[in-house]
Amino acid sequence: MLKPHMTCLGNDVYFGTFPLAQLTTVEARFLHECDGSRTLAECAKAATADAVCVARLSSWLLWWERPVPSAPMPKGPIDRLVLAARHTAPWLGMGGRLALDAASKRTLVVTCFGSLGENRFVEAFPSASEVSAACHDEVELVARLTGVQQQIWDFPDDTRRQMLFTTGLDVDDLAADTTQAQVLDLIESLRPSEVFAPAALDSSADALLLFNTVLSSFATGNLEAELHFYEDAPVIDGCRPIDEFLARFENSYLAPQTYYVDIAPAFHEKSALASGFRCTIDQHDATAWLQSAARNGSLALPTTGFAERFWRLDAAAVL
Amino acid sequence: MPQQSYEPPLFLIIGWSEAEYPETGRQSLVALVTHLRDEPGIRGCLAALPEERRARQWLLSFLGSVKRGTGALTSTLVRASALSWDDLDASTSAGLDELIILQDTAEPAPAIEVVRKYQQRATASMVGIRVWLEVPEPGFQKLTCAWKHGTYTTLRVELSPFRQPAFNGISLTSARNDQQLACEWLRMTVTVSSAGEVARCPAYLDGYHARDGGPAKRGQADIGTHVSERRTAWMQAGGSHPVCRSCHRLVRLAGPGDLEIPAQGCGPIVAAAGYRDYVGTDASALSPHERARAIEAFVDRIHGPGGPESP
Repeated sequence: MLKPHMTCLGNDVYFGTFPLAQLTTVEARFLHECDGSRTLAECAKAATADAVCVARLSSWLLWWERPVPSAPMPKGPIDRLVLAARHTAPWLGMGGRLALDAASKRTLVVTCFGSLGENRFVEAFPSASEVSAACHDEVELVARLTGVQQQIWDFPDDTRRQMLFTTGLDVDDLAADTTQAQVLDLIESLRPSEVFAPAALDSSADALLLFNTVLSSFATGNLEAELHFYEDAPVIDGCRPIDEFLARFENSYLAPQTYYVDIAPAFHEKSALASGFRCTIDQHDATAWLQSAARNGSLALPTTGFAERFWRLDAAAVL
Repeated sequence: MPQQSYEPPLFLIIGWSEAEYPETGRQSLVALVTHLRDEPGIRGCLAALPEERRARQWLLSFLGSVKRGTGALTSTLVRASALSWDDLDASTSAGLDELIILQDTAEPAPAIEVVRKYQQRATASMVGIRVWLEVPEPGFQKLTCAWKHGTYTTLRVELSPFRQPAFNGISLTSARNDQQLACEWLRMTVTVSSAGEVARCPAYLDGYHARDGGPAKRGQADIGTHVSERRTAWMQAGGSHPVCRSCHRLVRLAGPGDLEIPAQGCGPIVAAAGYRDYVGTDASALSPHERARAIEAFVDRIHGPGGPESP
C-alpha cells in the first residue's frame, strides 16, 4: 500500500503537498493497484509493471503480509478500549498484540490529545493543519492494517494548552477534568472488559495526565473494567523509566502486575506499523521500538523472540 | 479571584434551506448580533449559505450589515457536494471575507473544477477560500493535495472543527434546528440556528440529561446511585460539561422576550438592551458557595419555562 504521507494524483506523486516525482503511466497504474487487497505479484501483473518499476516505487510502499480490509472497521460492540496520549504510542507499544488479538477482541483505540504537531518534514507539511491531516491518515491506515477501530479526540496537548490558557486557570486540572469525563462517558457507553492506558514512561505531560486520570478513576471505582498499562516509550537504555513507573505505586494499595505477551508471530507486522509513522518518528525511534520488543522477549518467562510488556491492575489487586 | 477576560465569540449560523430561515428567526438573529455588538463583541460570523434565492439574499445582506456594523470577519459555508458558480459569485459580490467549502464527499474533483473555473475569470477582489475536510476518505492528505494543486490561488485547507466523533458523530452537514452542535473546541464559537436560537452543546443532551435522570437514552436501572454520584461530581466541577468549562463561560442565550426587534429583514443594527442572555459567567472564578448558587440558577434557567430545554 502507498504510505499515508504519499499521494498519487494522476501521474504526479506528492510527499505531503510537495511534488516529488512524475510517474510513467505504468508506474501510476501500479501504485493505483497497490490498495492492500492483493499481493505484490498480482499488482505488478495487473499493471504490467516490471521489476525495475517495482524497485523504483518500493520505498513509497508499506509492506503488509495479508490482505487489508478496504474500509475502516465498522462500529460495533467493543471488548477492549486502548487510550493514548500520542497517536503513535499504542501502535508502537502494543501494535503486535493489537494485530494478534484483532480477530478475538473488538478493539477501539482512542488518541486523546491531538495537536499532532510533530512532523519531521516541514517543507512537505508546512502548516499545522497539514501535519494534523497527515497524522490522522497515519492512524487511519494503521487501524485498518491491525483491524481495529480508532478515534482521535483532538483535545489540545500540553504545548497547545500552555499557549491557549494565559488567564491563570489551572490548565492541567481542566484538561484532567475534561479527559476524565470523556473517558468515563466512553467507557460507560461501550462497557469494554479491558481498558489499556499508557504507562507514561517518557514522563510527557499528556501521558502522565492520562495515566493519573485513568488511575484515579480506577481507584475510586468509576472504571469498571480490567485496567492495563502498556509501554508508551521504548525501554532500551536502562530500567529507570520502569523504576519510576513502579515508584508511583509505592505506599499504594494498588500493585501493578507485570506480564509479557509473545508477539513473535506478529513481529513483521509491528515493524511495518512503525514505517506507517514515517512523518512522525525517524529510523532511530523505529529501531528502538523493535529493540525494545527483543529486550522484552528476553525478559519474558519463558523467553521468546519478541514480546510486549504490560502491567495489570485488576480487582484482585485492589482487594 | 479576578474575573477572566474573554475573546469575543465567533458566531456560526446553521440552516441550509429557506424553510429554516423563518421571519422570527431572522429577527432574532439581528437582535442577537445587535446586542452582542459592543459587549462582548463579535469576532466573526459564519453562516451556512441556503440554496433558495430569497433566503440567500437575506443572509448575504445580513452578513454585509454585520461586517459594516461590527467589523467582524464574515464568511459563508457551502457544501462541496452542492458548490456552484453562484455560491462563489454571491459571496464575492456581497464583499464577504471568506467562503468556506465543507468537503463532505470523498470526491473533491467537481468542487475543485468549479473553483478553478471561477478563479480563471475572477477579479483580484475574489472572496477568500478555505476548505474544511469532513470525511476521512480517501485520506485527508490526498484531499489536501487535490485542493492545493487543483486550484490557481493559495487556499487554506483544514480539518473541519466539527467532525469530532467524541460528540456523538454530530456533523455540520446534518445540522438542523432540532439538532445541536458542539462549540468549536476552545475557540469561543457560539452556534446559532437559523431560527435565531443558540444551539445547545451535546453535553446537555445525552451527557447532562442522563445524569439528571431526564430523557435519558439508557435504562431506568442505570439511573441509580452511581449516576447520581457522578452527576454531583460533575456539577461541583463547574456547573456544566468540562468541555464547556474550557470555554470559560456558561453560555446559554434565551429568546428575545419583550425585546423590540426591527420589523423586517436584517434592517439597521440597533441597540437591543433588553435581550436576555447568560453569557460570561465563569464558574471557576467564583467561591464555592457562589459557584453552587450560580450553578443552581444556571440549571434552573436551562430547565425553566421558556428555556431552551423546556419541553
